[in-house]
Amino acid sequence: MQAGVASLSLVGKITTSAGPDYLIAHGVSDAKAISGKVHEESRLFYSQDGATWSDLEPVTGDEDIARISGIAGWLSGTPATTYTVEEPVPAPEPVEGEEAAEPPEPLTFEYTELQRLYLIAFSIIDEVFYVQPKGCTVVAADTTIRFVPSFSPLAYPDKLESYVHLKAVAPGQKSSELVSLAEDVRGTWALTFDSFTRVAVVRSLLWPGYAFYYSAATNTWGKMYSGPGYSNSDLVFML
Amino acid sequence: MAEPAPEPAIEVAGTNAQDKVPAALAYLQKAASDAGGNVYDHITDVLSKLLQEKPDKPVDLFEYSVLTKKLALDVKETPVLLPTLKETHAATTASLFSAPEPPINPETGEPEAAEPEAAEPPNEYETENVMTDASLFEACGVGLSRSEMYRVMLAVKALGEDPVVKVATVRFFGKMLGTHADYYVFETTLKEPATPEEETPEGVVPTEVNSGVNAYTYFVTTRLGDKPVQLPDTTPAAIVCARQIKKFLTGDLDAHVSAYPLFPGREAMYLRAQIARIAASTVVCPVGFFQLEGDEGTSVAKTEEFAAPETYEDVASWCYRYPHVKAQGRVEAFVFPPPEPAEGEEPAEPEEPEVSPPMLTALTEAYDDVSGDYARLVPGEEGGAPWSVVTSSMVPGVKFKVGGVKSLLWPGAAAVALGNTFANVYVGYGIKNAPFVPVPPPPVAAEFDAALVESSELPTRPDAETMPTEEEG
Repeated sequence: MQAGVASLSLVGKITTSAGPDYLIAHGVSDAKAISGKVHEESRLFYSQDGATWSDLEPVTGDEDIARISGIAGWLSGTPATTYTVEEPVPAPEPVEGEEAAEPPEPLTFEYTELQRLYLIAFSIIDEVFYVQPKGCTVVAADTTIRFVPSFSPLAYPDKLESYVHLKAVAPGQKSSELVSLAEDVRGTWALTFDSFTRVAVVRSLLWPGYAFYYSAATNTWGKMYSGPGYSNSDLVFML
Repeated sequence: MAEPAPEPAIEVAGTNAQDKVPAALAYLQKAASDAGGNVYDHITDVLSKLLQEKPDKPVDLFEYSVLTKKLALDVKETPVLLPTLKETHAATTASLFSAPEPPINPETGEPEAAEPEAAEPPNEYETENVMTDASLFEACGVGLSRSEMYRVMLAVKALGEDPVVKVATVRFFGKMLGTHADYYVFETTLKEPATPEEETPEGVVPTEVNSGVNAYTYFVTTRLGDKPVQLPDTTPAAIVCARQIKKFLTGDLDAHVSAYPLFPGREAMYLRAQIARIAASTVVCPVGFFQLEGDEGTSVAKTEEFAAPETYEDVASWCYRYPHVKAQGRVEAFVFPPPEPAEGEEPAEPEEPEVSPPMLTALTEAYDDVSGDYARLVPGEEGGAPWSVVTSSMVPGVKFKVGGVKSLLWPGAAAVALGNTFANVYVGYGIKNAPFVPVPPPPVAAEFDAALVESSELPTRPDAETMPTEEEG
């Protein structure tokens, strides 16, 4: 209530190399589907002990995002850590007859760990977090996205086709027919179905650490990320 | 009792019905929502859909589709088309929970009378307290859930009591995640280990038999309740190759491991090689729990009086439990016999074998790691212990805290301890957390350097009978 969001959910845990891990929460209000695209007001919160939560300031500006995304390595676990990004300045063309001038000092930019944390959490949420069983939401006439109270259990919980992205609505497509995980790049999802507990677990191989479960017995589902916070760039070799 | 007065509104509506219809239609057609939809179109769509498809239960579907505006109308009323999930798989897991069937008397065909007192386990074995370990893992947020661990415990029991396999010890190693199925891995020692006598070809590093990397025998199953399959012994070649490739497991032991360099074996061999690497570099124990035994310090034994440290939330209080696996893929370095020196030549200097750190080396102790399975390889950072700390509580001053360490190099490997109890587990993809550097392709073969000479010989005349005869006309 204090956060001023309609719904608040736990995204997961970003593991760190030295300090305590970061917990990330995602608050959403006003989710709407306007002309095939999902719009919502979202806020991110982080915590290191699970008790005190703080706002995660959004990073805007394409240049900043590009520079921060280029920083490799694990998060340290200390929010005050700063990272310095150097960017070379293009050397001016030497005038004929003159000696080439010394290359100018590279530009340096300082970013904090929290800015990195925001971008990591943002890309996880953007790319994989909006997985849901097919048909559990509907776009109401006033464009808000609502859960279907009469959502009946999935007929094929052991098939990737039964799970869809809420975010990726193809242009011109009816917003009730969302893109299923089977239409993603082949091999980016791993699904295991345990017929004893009737629980399907869908794991992302592109974002190792992200898992989505659907229980066919109770018709409930959930999702969480627990990993270092970077995508698997070696996937093409690993399948 | 006064009769309810007739509602004048009906009368009014009745008299003016003809006039009201256009007004009502106009109202329904008025755009009402932000998206531009209106009630008239909505109902028209639903009705035309119903009339087109003529489903068996139109009222239900009409109600549902009006409520949800889900015009696609996923017709779900034909139970014949619903899939039958493979319940036999569930039955195999459920079989773990049932008491063993009494043996059948071959003469009468009747089950023999069960005698509870006389029931002896078919095989005596040792194992760890799986459920205590599960509670420690749960406290620190590592490993598997308690209900899954209960099934694991039953599977450990089933494997331990198997009178054919005859294990001496069983330990639940962990769960290796795959793209289509996951492997539950059990680490055992056998009472009657097989001693295969295979000839090692010349120039090949021989396999260690029942020692070193093959000191334990591993059993895997993708479904608890199924009979675990024994993995083959790993070979130095498999370990060396597994270090050069990065592959997901598929969940099928017979699957090809398509990678370069060519992997010597199927997925069962790859899985076994990864287990050997993970076990050697992530199975850890508290410092002082074991002590070196024997003159050469190649085996360990439990310390009789182990004093538990105050906290296990310190990487320095843990040490490696299994021997170090060298870059060669063996625990004990194998030195090829020096070739016979030709006459008049000095005998060649034998190669210096890699020296491993002693057993029970602390995790924080730095040493030159050639294989790369122990040192930290985090992009952007170098050095440092590849471990971080896990704890059951972040609140300072809590007593009886469960503490432990988790590997950053092999994500999913963790060890936790409380008092005199400690446990290891691995739940992960079986992949090292290091950027993948593909091995370059082999050098291009040399050109055929003999001169190309024109041959003066004519090609042999083809046999007339086998020649295709041309069709006439």
